[in-house]
Amino acid sequence: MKHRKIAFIALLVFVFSSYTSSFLWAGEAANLLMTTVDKGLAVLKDPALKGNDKIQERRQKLWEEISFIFHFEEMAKRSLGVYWKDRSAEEKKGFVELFTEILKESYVGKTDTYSGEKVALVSDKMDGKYACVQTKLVTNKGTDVSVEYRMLNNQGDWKIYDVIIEGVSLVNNYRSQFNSILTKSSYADLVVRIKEKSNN
Amino acid sequence: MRTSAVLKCVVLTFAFLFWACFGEGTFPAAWGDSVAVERDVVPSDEDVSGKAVEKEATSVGVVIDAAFGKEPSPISSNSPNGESEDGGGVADKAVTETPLEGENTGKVGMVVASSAASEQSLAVEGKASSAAGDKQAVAGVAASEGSNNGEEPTFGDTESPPVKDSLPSFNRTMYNVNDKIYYYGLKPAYKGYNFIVPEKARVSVRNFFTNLKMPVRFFNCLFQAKFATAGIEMSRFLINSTIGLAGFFDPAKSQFNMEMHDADFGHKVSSGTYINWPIIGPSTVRDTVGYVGDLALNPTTWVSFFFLTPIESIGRGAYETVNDTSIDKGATYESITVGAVDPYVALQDAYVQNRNKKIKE
Repeated sequence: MKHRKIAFIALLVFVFSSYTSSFLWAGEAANLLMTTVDKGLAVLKDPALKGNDKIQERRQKLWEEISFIFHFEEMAKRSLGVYWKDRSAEEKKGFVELFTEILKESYVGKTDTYSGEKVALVSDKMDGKYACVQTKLVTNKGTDVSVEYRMLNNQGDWKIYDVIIEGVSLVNNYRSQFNSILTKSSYADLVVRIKEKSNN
Repeated sequence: MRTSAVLKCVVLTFAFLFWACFGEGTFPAAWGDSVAVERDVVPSDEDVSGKAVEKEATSVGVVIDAAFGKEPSPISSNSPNGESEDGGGVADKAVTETPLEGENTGKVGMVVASSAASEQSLAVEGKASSAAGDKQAVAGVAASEGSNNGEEPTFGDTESPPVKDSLPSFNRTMYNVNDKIYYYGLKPAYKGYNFIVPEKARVSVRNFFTNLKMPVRFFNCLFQAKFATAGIEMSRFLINSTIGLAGFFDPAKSQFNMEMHDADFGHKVSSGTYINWPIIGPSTVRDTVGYVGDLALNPTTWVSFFFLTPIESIGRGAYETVNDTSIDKGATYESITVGAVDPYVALQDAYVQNRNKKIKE
């Protein structure tokens, strides 16, 4: 009975995936992304790294596995928006480092509550040097969370420049915050506030 | 006494129906777009295959790796449903076109600015276009919603127009009040509740309330002329109320792959200013009107109105809130605000972006 069900589902997968060629012939961006996601999930599932006392170790390991796929400079640039071009080369470099730090904290911190969620590829699109990979996080709470990755071909390597969770773009969210601070006060002030945040 | 209450409800419902049909988001206006929207709303093949991956109980990675064994083909050929406003083309155009095109919106300008800066090899052209791009970007931001109406979801950039916030001091105060309510009231309550009630039961309670609120989604789908979606909602209700044991389980999703469509009242109307309500949290003028309209369609409101004392209704509402928060709302709230440099703005922006996505669906 169970075998029959599995065979039936496998058939369904085959039929539907031949319809949606994006599933069978996912582009290289999606391929890279899903391999990286799997590596990340492997870290989260690793029994040796489970538990609250191993949080730092697990976060560090996860970061080593996945950080290469993010285009931090691009993300920092986009999150600063129109204010980016007024920065000196040194300020830009410093800001990218700061941004990497807060991103690491917020992105990796979100995985602390991981409880067996799965990641499924929904679709991907590529256009020139841009790609958009749609995935979903299948939770065991009866809800799916849509997670979309925007990727950019950076000299042959596909890198993420934005993550959009349930329609909320990470870069946009930071840009709103930075804009709201920068319209009222200076860039130096923004740096102070970000540093305060990452020290907490 | 009772008759006047019934009369009140009837009047309220009619007022609500009237607003729905002849208000700002008029019925015929909704008609045109909804045909295009509907196609996305019906669960696509991709959704189903995604589901199947999950149900197969094998590691997702294995399936996906197997799928990736095939050679990648040019993806641009398979954009689903012939979506014309795919956006990818826009971003691409922004990179290749000369910066002299005056019609480029600020948004596209931003793409030019950022992508040009990353291409060192095209130094001269890059510099020229980045300067022009930034100038346009400034104009774009200043002109706010005028230039980009969110019609084209670009690959290149995902900038949304700035949020209109006419009550910043009230909203900020309310943000702080709600934050305190969350950390000192709601969170301890749901932590205790979590300790007593297992997650499966909590999800069932949520399913029960969700199923009960079917009329809200059903009628809103009808008002927006999304008939296929309304049909799905009705089928979901029938399945879940019977096989799903009065809605405590969700076989319509797990067995029949029918996704819930969270239609509500705040569609097709401009959003108005952002308002952060006490307890209820982020909203806009439009969504507040919608919230009140949805309350009128919500059977739990009617139950509270006729059969419960005020204290009991508050208790019921509080219970539902605690239950929802215990499942994922609490985690969502924390994940938005904890990592943020300015949590108030982060929550506001997340609310508006998420609303825009739901409305587009």
